[in-house]
Amino acid sequence: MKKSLLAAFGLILFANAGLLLGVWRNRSGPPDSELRLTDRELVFPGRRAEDSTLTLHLRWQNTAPLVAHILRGGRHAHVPGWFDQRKLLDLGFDCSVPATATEASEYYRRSLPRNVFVALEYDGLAWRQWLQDRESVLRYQTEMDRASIPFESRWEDESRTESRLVMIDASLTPEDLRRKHPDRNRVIILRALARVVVQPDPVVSYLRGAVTRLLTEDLYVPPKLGLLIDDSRNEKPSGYSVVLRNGSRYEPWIAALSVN
Amino acid sequence: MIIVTVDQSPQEHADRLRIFREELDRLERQKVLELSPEQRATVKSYLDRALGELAAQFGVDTTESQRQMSLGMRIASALGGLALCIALALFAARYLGDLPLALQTALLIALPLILTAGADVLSRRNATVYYAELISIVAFAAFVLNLSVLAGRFNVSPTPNALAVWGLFAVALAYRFGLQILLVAGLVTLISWAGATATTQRGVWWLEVGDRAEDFLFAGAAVTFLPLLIHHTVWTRFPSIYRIVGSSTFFLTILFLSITGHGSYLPWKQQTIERVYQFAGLLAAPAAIWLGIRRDWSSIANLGALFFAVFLLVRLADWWWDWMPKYLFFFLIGVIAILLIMLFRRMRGQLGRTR
Repeated sequence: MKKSLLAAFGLILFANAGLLLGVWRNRSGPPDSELRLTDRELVFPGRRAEDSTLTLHLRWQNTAPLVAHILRGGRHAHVPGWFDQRKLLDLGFDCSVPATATEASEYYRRSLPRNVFVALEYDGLAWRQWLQDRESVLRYQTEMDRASIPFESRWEDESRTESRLVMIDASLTPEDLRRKHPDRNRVIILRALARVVVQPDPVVSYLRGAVTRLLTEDLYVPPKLGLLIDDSRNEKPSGYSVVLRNGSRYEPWIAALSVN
Repeated sequence: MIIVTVDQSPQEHADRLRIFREELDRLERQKVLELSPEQRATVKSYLDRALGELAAQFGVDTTESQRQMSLGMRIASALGGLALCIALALFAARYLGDLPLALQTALLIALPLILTAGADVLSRRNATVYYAELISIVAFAAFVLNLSVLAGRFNVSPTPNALAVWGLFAVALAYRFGLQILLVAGLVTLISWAGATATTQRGVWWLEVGDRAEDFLFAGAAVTFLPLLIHHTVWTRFPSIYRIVGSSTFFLTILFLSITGHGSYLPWKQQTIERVYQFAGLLAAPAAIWLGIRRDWSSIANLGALFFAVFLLVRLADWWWDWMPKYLFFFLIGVIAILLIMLFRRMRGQLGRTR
């Protein structure tokens, strides 16, 4: 029975040592990437009642969403060129049943998401392309919903407030992604979940990949930095910018925060 | 000095002594047995001393009223522990975030260590287990809070390995203080870890474990038969806890798959998978009753009977509910229940004859 007590103490110490060692390994040495983001990409969701913990939510443009926007003529917006069937095979997904087969929908509905690494580019070519794609979606949505806000207003609003962090690639290894996207001040590599989707199409249905979530989306803000955000919200609301570092284990953290 | 035999717990020993004393009184009253005054005094003195020492050493109940009170105290300590866990989590959420990160880290690590040490001190000072039980439950919650909050503070990706550490910790505390509630918590957590790890090995996100439920079948079966490898000399009620947790997991998984074949590894149509598991459930439940009777595992036999009734009820509802008049449906359920009682009575009778 004494052994059980020693084991209980040992487990507490062992688990905490393992966790803190992992954090040290992630944060020691040069970071894999360092990005300066704004409150458009790291959103302050507000403080919850009776909760002293402050986190910022990482907002990003999903160019491989689970459900694609449908445009006039049955075309799909936001269907990426990069997350096609070839990429799915590279990531180890089983694509043995053709998308046109009758059992395809049931087969891929039962397939499970897999762990992958994804690359997100900040304020680059992908952001400009995303805005361009978004224009046609907004035009179509404004046409469909006549009583809504005019297109120009929506377009202006989105280009001013939407996150400029856009998903551009996925791979099984982070090294592969870094080789393809070497800019460490513009491209961040994170862990994510991806799955296969059967995309129905009036011409011919096809398989594509969808990224369902990033594994780390809520980032802890240390109390000292949290006070700056509180101050920025109290009187005259102003924006802030954040230095986001990503370590060797692809677990990001907020290294600095400054109020505009 | 009282000697506790290895095949029974102190409480079981005390129960046997208490029943022996009551039976002795009854036999004497009915003149079946007549002891001389000296013999009676010797037996009475032995029983009083034995029960007294067991009560002092292990805090066992020596009378029926004490036994009933103990059950109430046990429930109170479990509920109290649960309430303290919630209080701890809410307190941490309210105030911990205001402290510097280094202090938060130190507090989160220290809390389960202090509570575990506190439970040990209390168990040494008190023969009864209630205080130790209450504090152990809080220590377990503090350890869960410790790792989950610390992982959140450093943005660490969630991993199923935390489940293994929590499960082992709960089992360690259960064996230290003889706590059945923590053994249940530990086994359930370890089964979850086994399922999640099997899912991860296939390259799939571990929280999708529920979408491939077969992993729980193997984990449940393994836990059911684990007491065959671990000999319990002190906590003699633990093997039946293993069997209850393991076989409940096993049967609940079959029940889940028989209702929604969507969550299976089998590469067949959903309806085919459901039929396979419906059939498997109706076969596995009587097999469990047979095994329970054969090995004298009453928990397995009872769970087998319970799940047999559940499987049958689910099947009958599926087959008959839509087209049969409701009064007839419930009448038939009642008739089947009577038939089952007759069947189980016959099995019990046969069991009595084989003993």
